[in-house]
Formats: sequence, structure tokens, C-alpha cells
Amino acid sequence: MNDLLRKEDLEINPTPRVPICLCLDVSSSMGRIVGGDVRDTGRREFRDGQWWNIVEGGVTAIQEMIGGVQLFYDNLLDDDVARYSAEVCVVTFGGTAPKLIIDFANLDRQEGERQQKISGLTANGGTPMGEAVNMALDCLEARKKDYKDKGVDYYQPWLVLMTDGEPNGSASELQRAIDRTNDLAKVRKLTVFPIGIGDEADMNCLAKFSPRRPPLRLKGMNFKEFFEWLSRSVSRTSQSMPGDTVKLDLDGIKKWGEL
Amino acid sequence: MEWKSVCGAVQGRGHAKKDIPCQDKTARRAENGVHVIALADGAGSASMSHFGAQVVVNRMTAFVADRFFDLIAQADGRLVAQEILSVTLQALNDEAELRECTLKDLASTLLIAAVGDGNFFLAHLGDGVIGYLNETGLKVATTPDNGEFSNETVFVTSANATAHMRLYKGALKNISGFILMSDGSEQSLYNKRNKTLAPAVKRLMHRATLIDAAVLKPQLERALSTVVAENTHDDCSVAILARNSEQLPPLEALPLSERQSLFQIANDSAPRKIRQKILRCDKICALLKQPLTLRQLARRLYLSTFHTRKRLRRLLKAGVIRKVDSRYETVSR
Repeated sequence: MNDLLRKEDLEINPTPRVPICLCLDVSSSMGRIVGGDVRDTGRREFRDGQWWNIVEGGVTAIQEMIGGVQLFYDNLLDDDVARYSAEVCVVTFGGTAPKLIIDFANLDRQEGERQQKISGLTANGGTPMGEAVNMALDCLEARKKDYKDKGVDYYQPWLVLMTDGEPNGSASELQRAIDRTNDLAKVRKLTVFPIGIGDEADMNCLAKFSPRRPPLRLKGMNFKEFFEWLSRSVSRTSQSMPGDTVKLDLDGIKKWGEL
Repeated sequence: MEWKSVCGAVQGRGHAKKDIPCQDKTARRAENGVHVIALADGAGSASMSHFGAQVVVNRMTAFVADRFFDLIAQADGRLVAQEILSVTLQALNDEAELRECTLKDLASTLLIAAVGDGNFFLAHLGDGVIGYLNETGLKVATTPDNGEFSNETVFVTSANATAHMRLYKGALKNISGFILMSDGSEQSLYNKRNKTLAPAVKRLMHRATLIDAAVLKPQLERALSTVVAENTHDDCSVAILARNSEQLPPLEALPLSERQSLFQIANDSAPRKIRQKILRCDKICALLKQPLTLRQLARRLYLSTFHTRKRLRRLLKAGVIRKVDSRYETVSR
């Protein structure tokens, strides 16, 4: 007898969500060449607090980051569980103010805009990191409220903070962002991944955002490996059940990063 | 009307993939005029939690069946919570010694519903849902205690378990069904947004009053596997306690088509013949509202014992009657 439970008499609850905010540095310094063939033009320019040699050709840090973020999305979309549970929002900081590039939504629904908006990122202006982290935290709070209002279960939110330099926005906003992040992380209400890109990233400042885990400096420019690892971790989290402690595979990340 | 129970648990897709045993466990028990069901969802992170959950439901059904009237007579709920947890932990300590593991390795949630002499008793620790049915429909008694995040909850082994345990007792009045469900089943049988139960719950309760648990349990587990487990990665389990009422009408009050389906009479002959078969089953079920031996029933039917046994076999297979010792009786009564 198969009529004991008829599908039309059941409830369909949304899959529990893993909200992830990518908070990405798009300041001028992210336009630095990190690989490929280059030709020096002989020109020099002062941007984002330092002098730069202007070259032609090569691959920039922001291009590598864009590739990594796209890969992150692709990996999540390929995962049967993560596809429906991961929700990603992207905040960038460059110029004088942070920007909410992509707001939270189901990944399938973001498909159209994310290709265009992520590919269209350009390196420009200063590093208002405090302002950006505050915006990211506001987005996460707003999303959690949506989940609560709509009866959607969710996992601990993730904040991925990537920068290649040191913040040069408002000092008070920076301090407020550090305090908020710490308050949440200390009571396990937020998982923070501070990532330094290249040798000039201010690791001391990044460390202030993460009371539980030291920041990670990407060895060379291993964006691809990092985002692959991140999507695997999201997948593991999205399958965890009550009582599960999701152990992040930090050994896996150590192979190519510096903790 | 007599209370009936049924329970079942199936392995979730997540556990099947990783070859982890089903950590949801259920149990039921009827003795001393008390009928108890219990459900425990073993913690995902605890390696031996399937053993722990089994110990918890076994110990708790025995304990509540034995102490039901003392538990509902106790005015101080905290003492009841403390006693339940201390009995549970004692059983888990013995198990931990046997399995050479820690108490935490045996962690699970706990849900109990019991009825006796016109009263009910409910206890709930952790996630999952306890629901009930009264004259106005399905209601939720306790909602999941999840903490903020989806993979957090409280277990019998948690330090703050006593404070988190929710207890209810009272007169049954027109309550005619209880359901306990784990968080895996919650995904299909409970609306998280509106905090209401799925209509399917009433059907499960109704079937529990009409079909013997030994026959219903495999049907229930098949339904959990094919329908409920599809919507989650977690194990799925339910335990049901129900009796006939206006909301859950007895066999004789059901429409002909529903009786046909319960008696498992195929639609393969003329309507008149089908009707005849149904009425024949009706007659036996009506007579067996009082338990009878084969010989007693044959005499009342003016049939040989050979033919009587043949008809009884069909009804036993359908689960609408059952055999207790040497007597047959209708389940719905």
C-alpha cells in the first residue's frame, strides 16, 4: 500500500541555508600584476597610497580573484546539496565606499547577474575595509532576519574577507567592524575567514577580525585552490545535522596557504 | 476507545552515503493501563549514538509505563525533568561501560508521549516536534529546540538538559492522537514557517487506529523511506499514539470504498460482488469487536472452521484484525 503518505498532504520546508558573505578588496592595488608576460611602459603613478610602475599585459590580482569567485560559484552549483543551501552575497571595497555587488539569493537566481557583475569588477581607489565589513555584517543580519521571519533554518553564517593591503578608510568604522566581528565570532555566531593576498597584506589588521582563527596568507596567488577548498567546506556544512561539529579541513588549506 | 500505537525509523540519505547506521530510534509499550511511545534522535557527532538512542527509548517507555501516575501527580515539573534525566543517564552510563565509550558518544534527543486513565503526559528535549489531534484538528504541542543554527540542539547528555526539558500533562478530553517526530520527518510533516502539522499526520494517526502495528509498521517505514526521506539528508522517524474518535472514525463508520481498501479487496469483479465481499468482512469485524476464538466465530458465522480461517487470514494480512493468544479481535475498537 503506497497511499499512507500522499505527497500532496506533506509540507515542503526550504532547505536549511548557509549564508556566506564575500567581502572583497577591489582597491587600486588589486590591479597589480601577479603573473603572465608584461612589458614596462616606463610610466609611474601614485594610487591607493603608493607609487606603481605601469605595465602592459600580464594577469592582475583582481583577475585571479574574479576567476576564484566564479569557480566558487561553479563548484557550489555542481554540488547537489550546496546548490540549494548556500546563499552568497558579495560586498566589494575600493574607491571611497563599499558596494553591495550581489545581494543574498538562491544561487540559481543569481546566475544571470553574477557572471556579469563579478566579471565586471575593476581595481580602483582606496581600501575602506571597515566600512565594507560593516556592510557585510549588516547584510548577514538582514538575511538572518529574513530566514527567521520565513521559518527557514540556517547554519552559522560565514564572512570571507580578502585584502591585499591595509585599510585606509575611517578609523572608527574599522574599529566598529573589528568589534562587531569579534563579538559574533567569540560566541560562535559567525565564522570568519580573513585572507591576505600577497606580501603587502596587513596580516596584523586581518588578525584583529578573527579571534578564533589566524588569518591566512595566500601563497603566491592560489585563489583557485582557496575557493575550491571553501566550496568543499560549504558542502560539508550544508550536510551537517544537529549535534554535528563541522570540522573544517584546515590541514588541507595549510598545504598551499600560510597560517 | 482503545489507544493504539505504531512507530518506525528509516536511515537518511546522508547516513546511507557514509554507511552510518540509522540514529533515530523509537519504542512503544502498553502495560498497567498506560500506553507510551518514545523517540530519540542520536547526535550526528556522537559515534555510538544509535546505541544510546535505543537505550533511551527502551528505558523511557518502561519507566513511564511504570511511573505514569506518579509523574502526573507530581506538581513540581523540575523534579519530573530531573528524575527522567537521571534515569536516562543511569541507563546510558551502563551502556557506556558496556560499549567502552563516553556518555557523550551516546547523546540523543528525547520525545515521549503517554496516556493512561483519561490523562496524558508529554516530555520533549531537543529538536523534533510533538503534535496532537483534538476535536478541532491537528495541533503542535512542542516545537524544535534548535538554538539559532540548524545543526545545534540539546541532548540528554547536555549540561543544561533539565532546564531545556519541556513537560506537559493534563486531562485527555477530546484528544485522540499524538505524534512524535524527529527533525528529519519534521521536514515533511511540519510547516516550520506556520508551526503547523502536515495533513498527512492525521492520516497516519487514523491508520494507527485501524491497522495492527505489526502490519502497519513496514508500510509506515516504506512510506518514510520513499516519501519523507526524499526531502532531507537526515534519518526520519515517527511514533504515533491514537484512538478512534469523531476525527478518526472507527472502521464501521468509514465509507465503503475506504473499507474496501482497508480489507485489501481488489477491484477485479462486478460491483455487486465487491460489495458482498466488503459486507462479509464488515460482519466479521463487527463480531470481533469482542475477542473470539476461531470456533466461537465460526459458530456465529454459521461457517465451517475451514472457511472461517480462510476469511480470517485475509483480514489478518490486511491488519484490520489481530490474534492475541488464541482469540481474534478487530483492531479498530
